Parts: sequence; C-alpha cells; structure tokens
Amino acid sequence: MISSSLEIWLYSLMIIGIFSFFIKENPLYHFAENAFVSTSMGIAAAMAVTNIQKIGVDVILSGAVLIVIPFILGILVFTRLSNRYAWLNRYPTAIVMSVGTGLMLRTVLESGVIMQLQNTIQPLSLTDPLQTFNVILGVAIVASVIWYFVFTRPPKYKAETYVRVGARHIIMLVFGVFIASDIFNRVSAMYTVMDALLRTWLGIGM
Amino acid sequence: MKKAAIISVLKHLLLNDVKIVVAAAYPEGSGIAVGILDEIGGLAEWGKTYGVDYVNLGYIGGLSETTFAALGADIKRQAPTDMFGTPYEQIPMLENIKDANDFDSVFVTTSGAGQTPLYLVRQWVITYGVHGYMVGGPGASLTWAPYYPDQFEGIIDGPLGSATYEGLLFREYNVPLGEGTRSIGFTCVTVVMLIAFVVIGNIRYFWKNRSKGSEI
Repeated sequence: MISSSLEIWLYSLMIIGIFSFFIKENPLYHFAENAFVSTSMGIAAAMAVTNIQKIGVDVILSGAVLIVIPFILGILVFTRLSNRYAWLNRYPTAIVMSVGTGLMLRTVLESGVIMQLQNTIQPLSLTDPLQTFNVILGVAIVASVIWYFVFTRPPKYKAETYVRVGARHIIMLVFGVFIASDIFNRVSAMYTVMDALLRTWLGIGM
Repeated sequence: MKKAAIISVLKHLLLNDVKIVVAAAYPEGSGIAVGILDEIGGLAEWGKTYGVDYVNLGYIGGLSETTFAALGADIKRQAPTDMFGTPYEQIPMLENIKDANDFDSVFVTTSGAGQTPLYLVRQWVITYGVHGYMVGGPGASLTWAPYYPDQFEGIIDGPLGSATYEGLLFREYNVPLGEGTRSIGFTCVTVVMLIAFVVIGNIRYFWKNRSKGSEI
C-alpha cells in the first residue's frame, strides 16, 4: 500500500529527483541537490551557533573569562579576508596545528606502529602450520611493501627486483579490494534507497 | 547498511542493560541517532528511560584530535547540556560520569575511512584504556584490520556483518531479523554481477594485450 505520510512522499520525490540526473540535468534534480546542500549547511550552521553559545558564551558569562582567548583566536581566522591583517591568521592556525599534532604524537607511535607491528609479527606455532605460514606471509608482505616505498632507487640486485614486483602486485591487490569495497558500499546505499522507494513509499515487499 | 548494524548493536546494548551515551562528531549525527531510536520503537519499548539509561549529547563541534582529547578529559566541558538543552547536572545518568575513565566501551560508526575512528583510538582507547569497537560499512574490516584486535576489539563489516549480528541477536534473544538480513539477497546478486564484470574486464584486457605482453 502506498504511503500516506507527507515526509515519505517528500524524500521519495527527492530520491527520484537525484536519480533523474541519469537522463539529463533538470529542475527537479537541481531542486533536490540544492535542498540537500542547503539543509546540510543550515544544520551545520545552526549547530555551530548552538555550540558557540553552549561551550563559549555561557561559560564566559558564568565567570570563566579565559575562554575569551579561543574566541579572539577564532575571530583572528577571519583576518584572512583582509590583505593587510591576513598575517594574524597564522596565530590561530599555528595553535590549532601544534596542539593537534602534540596530542596525536602522544599516542600515534603506540597506536600506529608498535601495536600494529605486534599484530603482524606473531609467534610462530609448531603445532599449527597454517598459523606459521600466515605469520611468515604477513611479515613478508609488510616487509616487501615497506621496502618498495623506502628504497625508491633503481634496484641493484635481481632479488631486489623480485621484491619490488611482488610488492607492486600486493599494492595493486589491496587497491583492487579497496575499490571493490567502495563499489560494495555504493551498492549497500543503493539497497537502502530502493528499500525506501519500493517498500516504504510504494509498499512493495523487497 | 551501517544503520542495520547500529540498530542491532543498540538493541543488544539495551537488552543487556548497558547505559548508553551518544555523541555526534558530525552535525547530522545527533539527528540520525534520534531517528534510529525512533526506528526501534523508542526507549519505552525496551523498558528504558531517557536520562537514566540513555543520553544523547548531540553534536560535539570541532571534528579534530583536540576535540576528542578534550571530550575524554572532561565530558561536561564539551557538552554542558544534552541535545535537547537539559543541563548536565539535571541528567541522573551523568551524575558519576566525568571523563573517559568512566566509560567501559566506545563504539564508533563512520561512513567512510575518515579520521574519526583514529581520533577515538588515540584519545580514548590508547589514552584511557576504553574498549573500542567499530561499526562500519563494507570494507571496514579491511580498512581497520591493522587496529584489530588490540585497538578495535570488534569490527562489524557492512551488510554481511549486519546480517550476522541480526542472526546472533535472533538466536540469543529472539529479536526479529531486520534490514541487514533483508538486504543479503540483493547484495549477493550484486556481488555475483560484480565478479562477472571483473572476470569479463580481465578477459578483455588480456585478450586485447595478448600480443603485447603484460606490464603493471
């Protein structure tokens, strides 16, 4: 049974509007596109203003005057609009970058290097040959790809060429899997859209 | 199909009386959380109360390493009210929640391979020892594999992960199967088509280049 909800009718027509681009650009497509972009922007702007109020203005008014410093830094970002004062923009940018990098460096070595190496270089098992094979293969793959990116000079020895070719194949394989995953992601989104159109709007079972 | 997985995780947590705090790193996120809660019939349907078992802190602005670090260090400072404007002090569930040390687990869901999960891993999982879990789209287990099992103790991967989780919930708690399972037929047909196109593409490539030799 076709839905009688205005909300469902509206989003179904928006979906059809976006899909109508397959035929050619048309006013319905532009309406749906602009509605999506403007709604997203509107929500983001409203949320940003609410946040400034909640964690900025209200806090300053309650007596924490030091919070005025981030406000000043935030205003300095807008000096980019002036050629004369654009240099002032460097201060907030530098602070944001340096604080972010500092916080990241605190844990990035453990998270991005040590723990991942620990997971790659697992102990070999005498009782489980498959586990041993997997560990050796994993280490060989990681080592060859690192080799490929670190030693970018032309190979001197025959073995080096084999390592590089092997690494290149592995990289291509991984890229292929990533692309396939991305297609799969789109397919998954497509299912959601078709489900909304056929089942929710038109009442046809999927 | 992340939605199906998120719904399953939410149902599982509610069935196990786990207290839930939701925070969105993107403006649309807080609204999506409300929609998902509506989709499972609301908290009352599960015998839960807002503010006692579940809180939505809304959008936490400034998607960056710094934001997640600040949120972990002082929740109230970053979210002085919940999504609906109720002050932190008036929410009973948040009475004893000050920072990330008061959380046992953190679930992250993201639409792609953005940095959000990494911020959480670095600023919550590593820094505070909170258990991390990922609810991702197709390919999430590939993208986040290096972080499993030490940093993400579990990864739900796309439609298959959603359907599997729904199956487990059905087996353990008799929760009806949902969108994840329903989508599997559609997904299987598409995957078969995808494989067929890859095979056709490769045959064409090698056929075309059979006299030239291959080069990557």
